[in-house]
Amino acid sequence: MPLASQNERTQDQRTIFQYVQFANGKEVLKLAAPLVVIALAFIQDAAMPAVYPEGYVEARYPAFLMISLVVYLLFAALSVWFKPVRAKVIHFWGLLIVAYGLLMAYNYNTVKTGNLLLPVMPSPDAILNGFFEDVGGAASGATGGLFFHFMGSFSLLLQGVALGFVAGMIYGTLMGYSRFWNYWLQPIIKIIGPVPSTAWMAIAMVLAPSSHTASVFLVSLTTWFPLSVNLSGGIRGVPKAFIERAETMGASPFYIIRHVIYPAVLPNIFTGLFMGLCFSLTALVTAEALGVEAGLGWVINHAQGWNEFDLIFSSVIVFILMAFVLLTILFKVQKHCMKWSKGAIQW
Amino acid sequence: MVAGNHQLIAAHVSRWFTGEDGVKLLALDDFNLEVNQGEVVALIGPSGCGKSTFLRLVAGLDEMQEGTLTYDGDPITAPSPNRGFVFQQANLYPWLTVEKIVAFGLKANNEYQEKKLRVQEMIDLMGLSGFEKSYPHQISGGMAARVAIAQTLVMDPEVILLDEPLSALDAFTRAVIQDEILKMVDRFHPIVLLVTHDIEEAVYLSDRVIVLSPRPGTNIADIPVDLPHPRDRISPEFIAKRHEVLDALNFEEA
Ligand SMILES: Nc1ncnc2c1ncn2[C@@H]1O[C@H](COP(=O)(O)OP(=O)(O)OP(=O)(O)O)[C@@H](O)[C@H]1O
Ligand SMILES: [Mg+2]
Repeated sequence: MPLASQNERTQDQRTIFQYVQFANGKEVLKLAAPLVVIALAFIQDAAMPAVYPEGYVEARYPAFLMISLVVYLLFAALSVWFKPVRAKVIHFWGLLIVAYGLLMAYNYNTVKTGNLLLPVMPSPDAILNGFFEDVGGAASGATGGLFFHFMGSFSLLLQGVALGFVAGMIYGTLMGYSRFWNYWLQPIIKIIGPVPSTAWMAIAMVLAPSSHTASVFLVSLTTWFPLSVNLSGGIRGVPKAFIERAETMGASPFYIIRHVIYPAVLPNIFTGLFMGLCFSLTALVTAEALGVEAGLGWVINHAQGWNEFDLIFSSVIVFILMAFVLLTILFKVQKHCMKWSKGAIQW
Repeated sequence: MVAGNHQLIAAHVSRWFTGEDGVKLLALDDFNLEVNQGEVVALIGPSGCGKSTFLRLVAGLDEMQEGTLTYDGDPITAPSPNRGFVFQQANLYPWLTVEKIVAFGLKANNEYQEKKLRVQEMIDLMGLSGFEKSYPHQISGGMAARVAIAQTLVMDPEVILLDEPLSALDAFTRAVIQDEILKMVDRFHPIVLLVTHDIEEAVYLSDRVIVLSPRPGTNIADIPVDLPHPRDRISPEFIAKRHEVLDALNFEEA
């Protein structure tokens, strides 16, 4: 085939030099604009004295801006030469300008003027410092700042979601595939499923052997529910023709479940997992606030008790990052698994 | 045609559907058929007369209310890879590539390792070479129909049920696939039940043409096509056969 061989030839010729192409004037402007904003933020912070609270000495915010500046400069420099990097960096130009612009305004209104109510609105510097605080003290084993608590939350979440995933897959499959099981399982999920995790917490704490077990159980419950519902609904909606076609080729029921039904309901599984993960994040904070003496949820609760608002902000930001990364991974996996589909949900 | 020992017998088969209002819709009424190994039998009749209904019964996908349906003396109660079904709608699995769709049945029966080469052979025969890695949404309707045929034929079933498999193809491709079907019949001597609305196709491919009445479907004619292969579509004998089938169809409508 002429088409294929042509493709191969262009592939052979692809070397790193093919990607080298200088940015044009408009592109250079777009690359430079965020750089200017980050530099302005740095200059603003350096030029204005910290007035609120009086005598506050900034430590990490200038360093953060400096690092931002260097990292961006690096990417921008690469972008001037390499086309693929350029496309990605330029994609973020608007977002970066707004983000650092807002940061600059926020910094101005907190530590530089005290326009915003302190300590409810901590300065960027205070929030950054929060990341490095060993909340709970050395006695609780907390080291490495909020990373310690992040790991606690992360492992709790993963254990719960993994358990909920397995439970949801089994439960949803039985409910969707078998009329008999549906009769018995449907009422249970209808009763237990919609109850918010907060309501279960107290009971779970008493019944479970440890508060950790109770928390894992709660998180798994909130993954299990939407996954089961989405999966069973999806299974019932699989076109009969798909299953009959496999039957006429002599496929066993297990083969059909694995190779026809599961691929067909992959979108439902991912929707269920997405919802489950979102619900589980809520359950996680509840569980940690009430049960386990570690984790981001616990830090938030603890900081609230001591009116340490900067720490609340820091924990929330770590939490956002965790959720963002997990959901991004989920959607990447979905995209990979559903290459065959024309329009998958975008994240 | 080589007569073998496999035999498919339908005796007094009736099948009806009961609607939500409890009204019975009789689709097949006392339908009878006897087919021997190596025979190609065309079923032809007006739309809605129960042809697909009958093929589904033979495939073992549905149960009839009256009559008996046996293969080699055993009643048909469930689907079997021995009885391959090319459905009226292609309905290909959208998550598999053409290659994997064709290999599906072999994999489901743990025969893929031995018959791997058969997959590529079937893909080539159906004119799908170069599209092995394509997904169903990337191929045309006619190609999808050919993938569906390949998916069934790759299993070398003893009974092949074809429900208007070629209706989505252009005249040229259709003729090519028709000849492939004949070659395969020559090689494996399956029983072929072919539902078609195309009288020329029925006469070209089959040893017998069974004409069904409008719903409820029942046999109204069993026309032997005793022309030697390869058949000449414009020979007077061929055209005479077509007239014979057409007359049988028209007779009922009049
Ligand atoms: N699952 C079903 N439920 C109710 N009625 C059905 C069902 N399947 C088929 N029928 C009815 O049975 C009759 C025969 O249908 P069938 O599909 O066998 O027709 P056909 O001969 O294959 O027609 P065509 O040539 O249009 O494909 C039709 O009247 C149809 O409405
Ligand atoms: Mg039909």
